[in-house]
Amino acid sequence: MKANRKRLLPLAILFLLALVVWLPLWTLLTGALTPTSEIKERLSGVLGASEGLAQWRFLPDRITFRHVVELLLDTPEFFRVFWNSCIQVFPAVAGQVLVGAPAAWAFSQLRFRGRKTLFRLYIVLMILPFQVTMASSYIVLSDLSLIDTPWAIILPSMFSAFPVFIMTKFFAGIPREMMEAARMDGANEWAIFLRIGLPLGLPGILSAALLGFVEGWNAVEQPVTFLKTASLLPLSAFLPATTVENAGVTFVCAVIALLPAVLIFLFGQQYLEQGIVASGIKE
Amino acid sequence: MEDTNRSACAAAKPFKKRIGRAILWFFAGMIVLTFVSRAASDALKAKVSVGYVSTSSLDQSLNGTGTWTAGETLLFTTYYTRRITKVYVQPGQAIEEGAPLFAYDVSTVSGGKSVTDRKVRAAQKALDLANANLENAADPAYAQAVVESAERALLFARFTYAQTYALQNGGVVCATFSGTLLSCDLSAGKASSAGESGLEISLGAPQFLICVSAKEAERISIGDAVCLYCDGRQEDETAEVVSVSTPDTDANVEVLCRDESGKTRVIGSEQDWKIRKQSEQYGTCVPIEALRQSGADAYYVLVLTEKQTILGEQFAAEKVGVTLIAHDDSHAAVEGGLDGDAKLITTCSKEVQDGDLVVKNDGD
Repeated sequence: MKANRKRLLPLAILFLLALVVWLPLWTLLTGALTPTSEIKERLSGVLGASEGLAQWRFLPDRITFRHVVELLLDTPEFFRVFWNSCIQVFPAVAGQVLVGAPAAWAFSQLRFRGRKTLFRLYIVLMILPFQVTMASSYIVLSDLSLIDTPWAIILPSMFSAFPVFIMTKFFAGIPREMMEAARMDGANEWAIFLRIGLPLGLPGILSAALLGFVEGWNAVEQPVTFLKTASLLPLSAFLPATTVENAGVTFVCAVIALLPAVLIFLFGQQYLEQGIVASGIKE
Repeated sequence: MEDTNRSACAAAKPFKKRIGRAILWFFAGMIVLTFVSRAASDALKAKVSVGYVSTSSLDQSLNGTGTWTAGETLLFTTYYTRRITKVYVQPGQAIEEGAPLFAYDVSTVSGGKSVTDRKVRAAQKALDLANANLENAADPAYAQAVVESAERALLFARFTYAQTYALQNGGVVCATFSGTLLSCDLSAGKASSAGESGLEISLGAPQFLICVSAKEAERISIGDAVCLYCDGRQEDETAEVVSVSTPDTDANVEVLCRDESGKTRVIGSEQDWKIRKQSEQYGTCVPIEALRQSGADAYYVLVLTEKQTILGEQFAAEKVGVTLIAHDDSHAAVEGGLDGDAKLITTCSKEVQDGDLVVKNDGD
């Protein structure tokens, strides 16, 4: 009984903290089902329609699916934006794996001069925020005539240092004895990478891919900087256009934008956790 | 420990499968909804074409079908009762002064007094006198009537003398006037009836009569060139507006035009016409298709408003009231709260109301 009581307090504290984390998501979900008139009444203070603070209730007075229908059936532009996100994120993730896996394998398994220096350079590049590399990236992309094309998002992301870093950590965990045994059996370095490295490092590759997807799916700065045409912008960049009039649709839009990230997170939760542990970085 | 891990992995597998399936279903659903949304949008939203505000003059040309009419009509009768041997003219024909009209039979001697040119000289003198009086007449209308009467008397005198002259010189009577023969009751082989049978002549060139509404007539002024069309092709010469009547009880106006081309015109025949007119320059002209009417004199236009959202461009129709100043077949000059760069909805696939979301046609 005493032990139960002891556990109750931390549980209550954790529940309250979880509630704070869940509250924005709950606001999003209820906002998607709230009529525009009610949204106007509650949010006009923060969305510029009037002065004051937002007033939000746990549940809306009336539930409506109008915004869902309006977005999914009456706004074909939404799907263009959604597929823009897919077009920019999936090739970038595929590129990260294709480019990053051999690089990570080299860093973890091969011994060559300057390896450590090069890897440190990778780490430096990884920790540089986008704002620092923005100007140089813009100049390079502009010289390559890639500004205002999806490639301006895909290419820099393909050569990102972060997935290389994560995959290096995973590949480094593969016992060297296995590689030596393979070499003794006559396997060359390429065969070792394909037959041993990739299957054993799969959790790392998936982890890097998942983190890359989440990063790309939520990216705002890169699209806003490198894309000029509104019709090329991805889903993550729609929030600045939110007004009282379209807040309901925007909430639905946000919920749908959330779904792939949530599903993919659930799908690769195990690998993602491993990746976060390996990188020591909390996204 | 290892067993616990294995059982956890085994439990995670169906869950992962379900999530994998959910991801597939999600993207499949998004593909389907992409097409459904496009189709629904096409079905629900009106597709519109746009036009723009311009500064221009309006084409105020008028066209229609007019009728050739005779000018002043006089009946020139035969002075003698004699057999006619030949008639040289036929109704509708333009007659020049000096042209042969008909021929008397001069082989037999028959009655009728000869006329000397003294009567002609007297008529000429009377006309000169009437013209002289016209300048200082106390009653100009009466003086004008006297002149016109004297002119007619001179015409008749000259024609009578021409017939006497013809009898003495082979019998062929020539025209002493110019005009168009409207009718003729003389025929070869039959005798003329003195003072009764003869030729009905429209003096001068035939006139082109146009009937327009009082409102259209406001655009017509004396001296305007009237283009005439024959079988759809414009004639080289134009007619000229010589008079515009006052509106009749049905608010119709008769416009009389003079034709100086010298072409043969059949009195009573119809012909297409056009008067080309350009209005003054108007600052706000809209395509006529963009102008909509909500009441007797209440007009409005639907302006395409563009909303740049992250979800792309969205278009809505906004009603703007205007006052109609003038219009032609393609444009209307209006006054109202229209910007110079406003995009106006001209045609739409379905009825559009104020505030409706619309889809702009490709290429506009």
